[in-house]
Amino acid sequence: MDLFSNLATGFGVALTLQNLAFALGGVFIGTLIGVLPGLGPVPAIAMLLPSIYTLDPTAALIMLAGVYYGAQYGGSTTAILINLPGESSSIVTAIDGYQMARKGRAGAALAAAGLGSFFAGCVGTLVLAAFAPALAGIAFAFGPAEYAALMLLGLIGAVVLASGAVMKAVGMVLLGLLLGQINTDPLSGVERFSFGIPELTDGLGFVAVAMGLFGFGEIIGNLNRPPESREVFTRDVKNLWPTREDFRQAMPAVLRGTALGSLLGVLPGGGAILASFVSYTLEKRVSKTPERFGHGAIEGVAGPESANNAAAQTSFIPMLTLGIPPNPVMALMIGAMVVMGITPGPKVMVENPDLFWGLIASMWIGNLMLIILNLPFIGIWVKLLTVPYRFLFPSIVCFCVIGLYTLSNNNFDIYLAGVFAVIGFAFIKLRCEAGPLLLGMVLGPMLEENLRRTLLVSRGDWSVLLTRPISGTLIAIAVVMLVAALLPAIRKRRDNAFRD
Amino acid sequence: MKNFFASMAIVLTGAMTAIPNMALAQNRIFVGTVAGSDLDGLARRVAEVLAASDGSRWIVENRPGSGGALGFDAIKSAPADGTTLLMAPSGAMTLTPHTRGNLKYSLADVAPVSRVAGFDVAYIVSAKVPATTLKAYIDWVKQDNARAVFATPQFGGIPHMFGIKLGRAAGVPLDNVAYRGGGSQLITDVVGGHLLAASSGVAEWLREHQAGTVRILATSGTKRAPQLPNVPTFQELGYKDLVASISYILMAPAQTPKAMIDGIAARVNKGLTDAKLRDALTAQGFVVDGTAAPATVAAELRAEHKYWGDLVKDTGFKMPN
Repeated sequence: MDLFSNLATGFGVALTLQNLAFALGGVFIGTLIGVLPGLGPVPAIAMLLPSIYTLDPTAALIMLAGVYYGAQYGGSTTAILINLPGESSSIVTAIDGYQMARKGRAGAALAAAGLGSFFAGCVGTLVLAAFAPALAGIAFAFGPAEYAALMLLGLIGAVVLASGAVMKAVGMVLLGLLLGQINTDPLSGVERFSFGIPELTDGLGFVAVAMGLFGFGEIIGNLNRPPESREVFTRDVKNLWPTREDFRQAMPAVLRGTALGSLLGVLPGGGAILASFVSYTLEKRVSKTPERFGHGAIEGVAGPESANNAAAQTSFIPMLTLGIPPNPVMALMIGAMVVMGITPGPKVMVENPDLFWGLIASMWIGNLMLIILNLPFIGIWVKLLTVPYRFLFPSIVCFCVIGLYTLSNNNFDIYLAGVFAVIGFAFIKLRCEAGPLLLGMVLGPMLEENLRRTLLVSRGDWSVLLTRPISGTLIAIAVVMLVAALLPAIRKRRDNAFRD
Repeated sequence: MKNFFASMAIVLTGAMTAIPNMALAQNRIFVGTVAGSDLDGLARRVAEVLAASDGSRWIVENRPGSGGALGFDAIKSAPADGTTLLMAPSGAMTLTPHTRGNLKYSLADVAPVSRVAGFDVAYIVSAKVPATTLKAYIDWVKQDNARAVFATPQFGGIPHMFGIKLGRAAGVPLDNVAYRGGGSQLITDVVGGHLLAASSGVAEWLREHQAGTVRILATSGTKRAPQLPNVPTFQELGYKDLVASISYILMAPAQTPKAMIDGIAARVNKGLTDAKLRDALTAQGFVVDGTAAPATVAAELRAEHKYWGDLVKDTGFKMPN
């Protein structure tokens, strides 16, 4: 069967010493930033971008993916032990996990989260491996018209599915599109908005902007909040293995969470966060003893943790097969691929089978590494929670600046990141999500280029966008999404979904 | 204990970016592209050759930006003492000065050392085009004006000018569709038949040509490309004026003493005769050069500069600023 030979290829790639090392590095950094409250996978990946430039793309993506799903594990540790979700998708884990820790059952909660995540991660990866190739057959049918339609869909998706106010998301996408116009037009050689600054003729550096907005902006935002009093249950993490009763209660929750997460992860938008919320609600609803929820119910930890991890894996499906990012992390991954000369889209699977299947296989290995990193070595991560920010943040900023300089051996990228750090902090204060902006900046120029290539080839005939079956379908989906978002009834429900 | 873990975290975040910066070396080759481009790869080979010849240390320093102009900025302000070199495509000095009005460098700012390697321009059609020869293709285009479109990896580059010149010589008004520095999208768009033809460097298309998904109809050298013994040149097909090549030139700041330049040239050109290196570069699609003395290369570049200048004037081609 194709699936097995593909997976064999993948394991062949993933099991090389180099790629194993990068997978380990990725999940280690992921766990680390997951454990540290305030730092999520988005700033971490943004900060790592400069160092992956010279790497082999497969190794680089294996590492970035490891950071992403590693953060899902690490986030639960902080949520359970100090009631501070280290990562947004473990917000619900904190509810019952922290209560379990207060009752001296931190070990059982950590184990339930870890084992549930492992199971879900494995299943999610299998789903990814099984369903992704179905979309690969259309690879060479993708020409400029199809890419233009795909980018349009991606931009509208970014607006419709961003959390928070629709108008803010629209504004951010538009701002991103405008920033994307700073470049040299590839089709006519015109320099646009460069004001005689040579560095601007190649466009704003994606890495510098991302690091400024997400990395530095988040750090300033964190320092702006008053320090939390931390109650760490370090002593209590002794008896890790859950009881037989725990297993009996957690098992069905893990299965339901995995199924939910695998489904919701594919949808653009919330992905892992949404999956964990829905799973918690579901567990509470099907439980015979819903009153236990909020007071240390193990299902309330196992279900959402499985769900967010399964979703983290399956959210790679739209990213890898269509180049549509379902969440900001995937938007950064797409940016990283573009930086390394890989055009995201259905052709990745055909042109870079080693990268594609190697990445998928590495996720299994990464999940195995994570369960080892997170259960036996839990003590190390707990210690980390006691490092003061005044040491941590300056060192992180210092290494980011070194990384930025090495991008093109030019101070300009550092200044650029500095400017966007201030802008990023302003966005946090204004409660604007920077994700749609970054998407607009990345997808905008690609949309423009491909649209104009389409029109050049069609001799100015716009109708090809609608008459070609794939691009027509993509545009239809985009229109339906836009209409749905603007209908008041649906908008209300959407706002409620994000309010929880 | 606390501080130990803090420093672990820091080392991990920073190690990968910090290490390359620690290895400070005396001699540098600037490259105006990001690491990983074919130019960058070739420059790294040259650095190895120079280092092996006398045990000196050479690093490649990437100065990407502004279509390679930042590399020239770097070499203009570098000491002219043989410790700093630049590697750039010939078109950056011979063609770009005619098309870009606001360029801050010229051929006079550099002293050529060696024409390291290069490749011809190829005219490529998708396998979905019925024509198997250049003549059949031209006739096929003449039947329907909508077919007169060709793709190029970059606006205003040598393949673009070459395509314009082919269109004029063959009497078909070929329109250009430019891509962003080539790469996989240009190739897959031609393979998928979304773009039916392309004018582009030979190297990138060898694999697709051998797989039969595209056809290289002709190449632009005075001789056939060594990797494509069965593909005719434009000259063989009767287009006497259609000759061009893209080559990568190693150069020094203009004031560098002649003896120093000749010394470096001798080391590089001798290194390029190594059979193993030649085989590796040929497999990548390059034609290894390194045969001419610096003064000869300088004279050739001045001639190419005039050739492209005349062509740009002749076609009325203009970059829009």
